[in-house]
Amino acid sequence: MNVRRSTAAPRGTARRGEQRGGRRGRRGGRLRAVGLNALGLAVFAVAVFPVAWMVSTAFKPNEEIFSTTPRPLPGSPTLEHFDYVLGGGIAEVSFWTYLRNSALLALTTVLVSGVLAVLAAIAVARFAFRFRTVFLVMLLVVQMVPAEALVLPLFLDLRRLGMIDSLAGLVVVYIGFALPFSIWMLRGFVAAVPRELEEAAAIDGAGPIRTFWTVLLPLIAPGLVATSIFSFITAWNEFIFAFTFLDDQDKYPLPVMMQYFFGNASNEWGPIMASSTLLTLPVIVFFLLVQRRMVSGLTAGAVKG
Amino acid sequence: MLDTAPAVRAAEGRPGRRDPGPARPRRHRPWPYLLIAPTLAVIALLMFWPMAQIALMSFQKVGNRQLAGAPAESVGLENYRSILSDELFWQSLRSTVLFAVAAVTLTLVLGTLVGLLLNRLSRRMAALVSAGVMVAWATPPITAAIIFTWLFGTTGGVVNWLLDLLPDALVGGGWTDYNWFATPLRTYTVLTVCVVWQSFPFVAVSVLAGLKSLPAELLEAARVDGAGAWRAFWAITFPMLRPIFLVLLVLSVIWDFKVFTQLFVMSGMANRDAFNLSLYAYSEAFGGMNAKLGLGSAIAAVLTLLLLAVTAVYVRIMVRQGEVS
Amino acid sequence: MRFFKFAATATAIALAVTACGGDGGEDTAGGAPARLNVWMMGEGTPEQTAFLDGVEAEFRKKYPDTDVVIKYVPWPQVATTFQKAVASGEGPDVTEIGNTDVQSHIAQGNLADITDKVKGWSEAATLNKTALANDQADGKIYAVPWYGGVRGVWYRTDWFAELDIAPPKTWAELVAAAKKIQQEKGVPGIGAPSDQTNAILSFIWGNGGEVAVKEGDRWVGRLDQPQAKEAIDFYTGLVTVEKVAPEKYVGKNELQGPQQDFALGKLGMYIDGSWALKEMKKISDKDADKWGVFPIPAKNGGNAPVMAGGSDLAVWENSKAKDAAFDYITVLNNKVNAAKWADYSGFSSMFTDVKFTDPKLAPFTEIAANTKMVPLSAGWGDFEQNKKVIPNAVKAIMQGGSSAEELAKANKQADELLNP
Repeated sequence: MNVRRSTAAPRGTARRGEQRGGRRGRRGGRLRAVGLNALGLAVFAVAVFPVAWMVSTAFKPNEEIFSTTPRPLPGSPTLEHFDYVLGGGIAEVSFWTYLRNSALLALTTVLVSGVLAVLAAIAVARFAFRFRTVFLVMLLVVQMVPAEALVLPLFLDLRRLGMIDSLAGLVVVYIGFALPFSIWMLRGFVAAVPRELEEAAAIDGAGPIRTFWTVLLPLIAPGLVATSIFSFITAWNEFIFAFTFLDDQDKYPLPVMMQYFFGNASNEWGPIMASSTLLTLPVIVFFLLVQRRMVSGLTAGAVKG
Repeated sequence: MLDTAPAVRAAEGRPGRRDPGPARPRRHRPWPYLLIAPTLAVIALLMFWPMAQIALMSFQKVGNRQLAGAPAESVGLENYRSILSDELFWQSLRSTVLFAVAAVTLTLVLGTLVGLLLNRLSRRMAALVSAGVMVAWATPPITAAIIFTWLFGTTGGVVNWLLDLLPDALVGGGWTDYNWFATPLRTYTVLTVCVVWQSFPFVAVSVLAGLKSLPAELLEAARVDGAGAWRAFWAITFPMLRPIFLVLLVLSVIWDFKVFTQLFVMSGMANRDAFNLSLYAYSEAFGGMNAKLGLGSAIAAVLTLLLLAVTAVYVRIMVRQGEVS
Repeated sequence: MRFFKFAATATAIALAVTACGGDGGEDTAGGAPARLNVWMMGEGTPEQTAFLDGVEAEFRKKYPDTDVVIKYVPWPQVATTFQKAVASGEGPDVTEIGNTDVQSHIAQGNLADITDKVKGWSEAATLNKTALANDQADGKIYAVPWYGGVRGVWYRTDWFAELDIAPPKTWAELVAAAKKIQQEKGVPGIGAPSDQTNAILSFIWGNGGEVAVKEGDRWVGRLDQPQAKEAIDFYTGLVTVEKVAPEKYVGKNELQGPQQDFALGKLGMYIDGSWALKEMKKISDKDADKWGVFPIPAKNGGNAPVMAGGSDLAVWENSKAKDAAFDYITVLNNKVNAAKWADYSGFSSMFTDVKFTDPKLAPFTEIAANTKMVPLSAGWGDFEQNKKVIPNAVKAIMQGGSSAEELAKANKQADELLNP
């Protein structure tokens, strides 16, 4: 719920910059470029440092972790912390169980909110209906409601329904949080598909459902991938609901496991950093992937319009 | 909505081009209603009903007996009276607001600067830097909190080590054992660094997208006129990108107002002096053996109202930009 | 995590009270049951399972036809599991119970009266008296103590020898020792984190103070009394007055600094339990052979009482095989097995004469002889884990707050929270 998202992405980044640089004087331009590149590297370093430090700590033996003169890279790298996390498990539950829970939560959220979002996006992008504006405003407002407040009543509701301490209950909540944003994002993609294509299909005798499968869906696929990844990250990173609702250690997803582990073994920085690394890397990979997708998806939308 | 793309597109100044919209009035068919029905159901059940419950419960006593099935007792304004007279509430509110002001300002300034920088870099360099920036953005809040606790720790903490290496004349001495989580001010300093680190990438990328949409000729013209970068930014870039900045401002305020995970991990329950509203509500509501969900709801209601006020501003911006037509 | 779980416990107890009708269990005590259900708390480990297999083999010498079935109940699920057991009647025969829960189980009538059986068990004579008292109500015994975790002061034997310091017996000696280490060794003398309720309690109790006492059916806070105030002043004074404890542990618990610093030789003394040995060795076992433990001193000498978190063993009231169930307890917790269990778990046996094999841990047996229970109120979890009343007060005082004011506030919270 705190994933900061943007569909905006740099496109055609370089071309303009190069043109601009080219017009200036040679030497001044080069000096400036060096300065800018240095700044760029500084930004890169600041952005990457904490995560790099986490990964590096995960590979350090304990003597190096607690050394009074920290070193940037492990002197004698070790896999012992990863062994500890992956082999023994945390709190007698295997790491793979936590991973499975997280994956299960995230994938179900993606699937269900994806389907619902496509339906609603078609409604708002393709139909005029009475409460359309109200519906859109509602989508905006709902995304601003603090999850930190909703956790109270939802805890009670799920408790009454006997869905507390179950992944199913949690998934329902995640869907609620992923859905508004997914619709909002997808509606742009649906709107970008030329209506004529659908009409042509209809003339060819395709019913609405076939038209959807053969025309619309393939065209909005990039958008669907992008929204899916954002829903995935929302569910993957979520902490407060999982922490509040789940009692059973077997059901903890990774972030709750991390908090539990961190609270009970605040000293074991090696294993803590190793499991943090395992929790973080998939998200980073997805983020870097989505970056590309978003660029192509967006530019495609822009060209059509 | 958590995306600035529409604002970016609006800034492109071609409002008519986008969103062919719901042309062709197909009248009163059940289709659109059927299509949004599941979404409406989900949102009603998971958002509106709980919000109504918060409002309701904030006037009730909801404790163990109620959890065990007894009907809730109405207590009128008692919960509100109780939190308003609690010193901790005001302290949490103050921390929440001050933190939001500091974090939002820093996030916007830093993000904008990085966005401007990205716009000037060569293609390869820009790709490298934005990939790096993505890493910060992608890090889950829980790991970010743990990493920063580690960076700012006392034994093996790299920040204290660095500060100690710096000449004492610059930063003073005795950093080795500096406890970064001893007082609220220090805890919030670390929290601010952590949150800004995670959120400036979003601003940078959004600003960059906005810059790409600006006609290059405008800035070029300004430069020919001899305007420095500073003046060019305030005279041209900022006014043109104003809608984006507004949206970014509102979104940042909303996010930074309700930070929970990071603070919970960094200072937790043993440091009540560093509570913010989210943590305060949570700690009151799930009060151990003696849950006080009514009281927690009252705090949650205050938090929600504050955020809804900000949201109202946001919705107005979006409506003005034609995003919800 | 832990603090939140208390909500579940509370509701479970509330539900259990309403669900708990008559027991109706017909006691067919005498014979050997086909099956004996044993519930263990926690997630279980391979070592624990191996240990229990050994116990079972021993038990079956007397009951060859009885199948012992172990069920592990993870701590977070304990409350709901017991709640279901009460509601359905499908309970265990023998169960482990957290010692702070024993009284509420007795009140609900879940546990069998084993007074006569305990009296007929010769080894019971050396059971820790305080712990056993916690298992009684109206003069009847409902459970026996099994193991407990107690805390002592970890120190460096080599430094003490080198600097000619004897293990401190009073507060004044503790400060003197810390000062000497600080001067001679250039490391902070002692760790006094603010978020360590259990250690702080020992100082309060070691000065004759109390957190709260029961008057009639209400708990009345005692934190504003002179004994408690003097103890808190002493503890916080380690940081603010004597300056033998570093400021860097303010707002933290013993795991967030002191433990690792001690293990790394960067701290003279700190307070922790026997289980810390395993953890410290993981951080650095370079100096492990030089670590030692002495009891937390009371102000004017002697061992301060320590809080013993731990577990007891009980026979379930609805069990159909109470005799076999109790016999199982006497095997599980005979002195040989008790010693094995202590070595494996790192927790002290509740027999005053069962020691750890590792001589380094021996003092914990002595320490465990003088335990004290926290106020047995349903609100204690709230007071200790969620609101962290004492840690927050201690922190404020360490940062210059007035102890009279902070303790008055804390005492008011005790009055409220301990009477939910």
